[in-house]
Amino acid sequence: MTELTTRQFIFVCLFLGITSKLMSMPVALYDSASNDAIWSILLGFVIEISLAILICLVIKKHPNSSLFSLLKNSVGTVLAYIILIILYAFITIKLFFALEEVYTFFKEFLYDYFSPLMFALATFFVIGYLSYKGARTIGRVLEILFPIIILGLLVTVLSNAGFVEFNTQMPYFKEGILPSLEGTLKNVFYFGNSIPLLLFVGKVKISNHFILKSSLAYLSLAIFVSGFCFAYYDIFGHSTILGLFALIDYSQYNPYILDLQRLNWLSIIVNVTKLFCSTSIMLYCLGQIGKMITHTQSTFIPIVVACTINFIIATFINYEIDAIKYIVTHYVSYITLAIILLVAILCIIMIAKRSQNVKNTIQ
Amino acid sequence: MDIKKKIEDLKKDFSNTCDLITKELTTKDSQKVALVFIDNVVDQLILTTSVIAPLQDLTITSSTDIADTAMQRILSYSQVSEVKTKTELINGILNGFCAILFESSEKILIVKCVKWIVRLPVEPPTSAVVKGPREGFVEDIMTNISLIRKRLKTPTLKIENFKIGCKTNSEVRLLYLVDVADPLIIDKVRAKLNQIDIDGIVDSNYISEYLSAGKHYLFKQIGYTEKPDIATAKMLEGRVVILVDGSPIALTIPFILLEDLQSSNDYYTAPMRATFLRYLRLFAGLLAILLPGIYVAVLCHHIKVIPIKILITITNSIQGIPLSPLLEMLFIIFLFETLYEASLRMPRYLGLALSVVGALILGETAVSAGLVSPPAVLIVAITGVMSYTLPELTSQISLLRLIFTILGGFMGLFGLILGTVFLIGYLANMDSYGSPYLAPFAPKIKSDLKDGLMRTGIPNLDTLPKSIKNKKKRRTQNDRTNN
Repeated sequence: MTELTTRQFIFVCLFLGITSKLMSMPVALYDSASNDAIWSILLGFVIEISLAILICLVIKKHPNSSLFSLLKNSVGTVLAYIILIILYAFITIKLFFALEEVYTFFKEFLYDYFSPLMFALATFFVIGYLSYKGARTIGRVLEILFPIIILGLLVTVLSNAGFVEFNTQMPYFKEGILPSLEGTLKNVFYFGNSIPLLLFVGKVKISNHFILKSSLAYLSLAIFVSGFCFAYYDIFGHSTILGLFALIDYSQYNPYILDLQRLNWLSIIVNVTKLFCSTSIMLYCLGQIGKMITHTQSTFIPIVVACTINFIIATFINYEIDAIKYIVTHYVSYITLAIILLVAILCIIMIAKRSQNVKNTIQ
Repeated sequence: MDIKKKIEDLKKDFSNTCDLITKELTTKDSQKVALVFIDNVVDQLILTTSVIAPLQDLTITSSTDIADTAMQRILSYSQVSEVKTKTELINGILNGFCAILFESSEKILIVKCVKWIVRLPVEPPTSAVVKGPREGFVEDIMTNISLIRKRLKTPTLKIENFKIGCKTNSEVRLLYLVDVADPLIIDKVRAKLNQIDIDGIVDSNYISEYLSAGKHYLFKQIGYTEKPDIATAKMLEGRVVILVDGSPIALTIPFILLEDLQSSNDYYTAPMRATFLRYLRLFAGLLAILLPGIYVAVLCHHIKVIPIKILITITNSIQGIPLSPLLEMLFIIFLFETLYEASLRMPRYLGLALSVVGALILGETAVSAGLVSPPAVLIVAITGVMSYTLPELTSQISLLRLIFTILGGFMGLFGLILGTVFLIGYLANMDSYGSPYLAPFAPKIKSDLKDGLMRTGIPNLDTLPKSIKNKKKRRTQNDRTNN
């Protein structure tokens, strides 16, 4: 059953794509690639957009199939289960990281004390509700929130655009292209956001120019994020005030207009709303995978299980954001690269398969 | 059977109620006839001129039945029919018909002599307009139908009749345009109306709860209107209207949230002005829900982010207040809601006095006594006024305001954002008879945005809303959708 319109699917792509890219990623990339970080971002986007296009091709080719039936037909039942388990683990890590980012963000900037238990309970109640209600509800929520979020981001980003000088990062490639390649490789985790899109196979109502529209959406995202990072590095790259979250640095430490600090509020609201939306999508994907693995009719139990697992992780594994970043850039990114390759190969196999008209019972 | 016996039997069926009047007459040729009706329900003038006089003049030939002859005579004066069953007879009498019993015939006739007390279709107090039609629905269903018929002179207007309530036997009418309304919606509404099993329907709201999909929705799924022009406009868009005898409120189905942001005034004023007012209502509604929560969240959790000048003013105002910002705000909201509820229920003159006392004296005294701070009183007063820009959503706004205040107090900005995302998710999940509740914004329906928050000129509103399922695409006569 198709649950999302093409327009809503594009919003899903954008929300998933932007997760962490305006907050943790620019700072982490600058640590790895310094002045060449912007090239790492562009290279990362080439990987992300390529994978997203491959997944969109699968969605277009098999509009009436479920992911499970496609996987089963492509690689066999056992491998299909293994792939689903890998995807489950990967999305769980992404969800954990996104939630940890929100939590740290609140703890650092807005509260003297912020109970992780209270945070996890409230968050999982809301994102659990949204993901249980399904892709249709999430798609509609994104449709409502997208214009507000994009407006907030544009206001925040453009407010500092006048301070960009275009030359502070020059010259590029002082130490060759290796630092930028290393930057991408170490931070490829941040570019694995298109992987959850695989769970939307058979759930999108395909309109005209589906691939073109999705690609353009990703391209716009890449331009926006790269533009933001360029401005961010240009203004703050050489200063010592590079903090934890790029967007907050960007809006909080404006050197010229003190009143602009009030924009901090805008970026807080925008960023947190954005992260709630993307975590809902991830939890929905976990629910879908759980449903495929357990062959249950409803997503209720899989979502409760996913919520419980993530709740335990979010409540008890309370690492500092720096520690998480270290783990991500030194270990998880390499695993992510392998998963990206795996998904890309799978997509190619599934694109090569003849499309099924008969709908599988498991959706 | 003896006519007295027949009357006695009928009286027993009506539990020997004192307002069941029986009148025995004798025709010109000495045949005994009895009239049975309920006092104050039948029109005495119609009864005398259309029933009693023709009966007293009645003469019959030996070959004809007296009931048939009487029927022929009365038919020229009033609506008369023969009843076959006792239930029909009882229902007829209860609905203001006069029953005619004959000694020499077993047939029973009923004549329409009803005269219910009906008020004039004046402007309803809840939907006052500056410009535009001022007629409003009344408690009489026939008057309401005539008000709609006056506006919709088309043979495609279909009216279906239902009787609901085993005790009240209320007449319920389902109205729709057969060439516009979606048959699936009609079938669904019809089926739900047929399923209603209740002793009585006192108001249309009784039915609306049966017609709603979920039993525990905070937001209504059925539209209400007290004005025939609005009901007509909604039928032209493909909605169905339900009228209930005894209620001045018509129900409209399907219903989407946008309808509460719109007002009939919008269509009788310039498009630019209507657009401005719609945005104003939306922002006022949002602020009415969120402002107390934001105030409490900032004071309880994020005080360091307030600009210094505002912070000094607020700090001076809240100095010495014994309650925490959350408790203070809850106390004022409680006071406000109590005053509102009391002013609604008190006799009118007392209610007026109470609102003045509440607003001026209670608020002022509470501030002077140091129990509450002026900014908190100001915020509740502002949000109270703002909530009335959306009169249909006042009850939902007041409940949400309370919830968001508590969220802001306990969890600060995080709670407010979570609450907002949850609320949007909750609304996005709702449907009313196949119409997405947040349409035309989620899912986005481009053609419907012409009459969304922005209203374009009426000549441009040539397409029917896609968010409401219907048979036609265009409002104009040359629509070819069905061909």
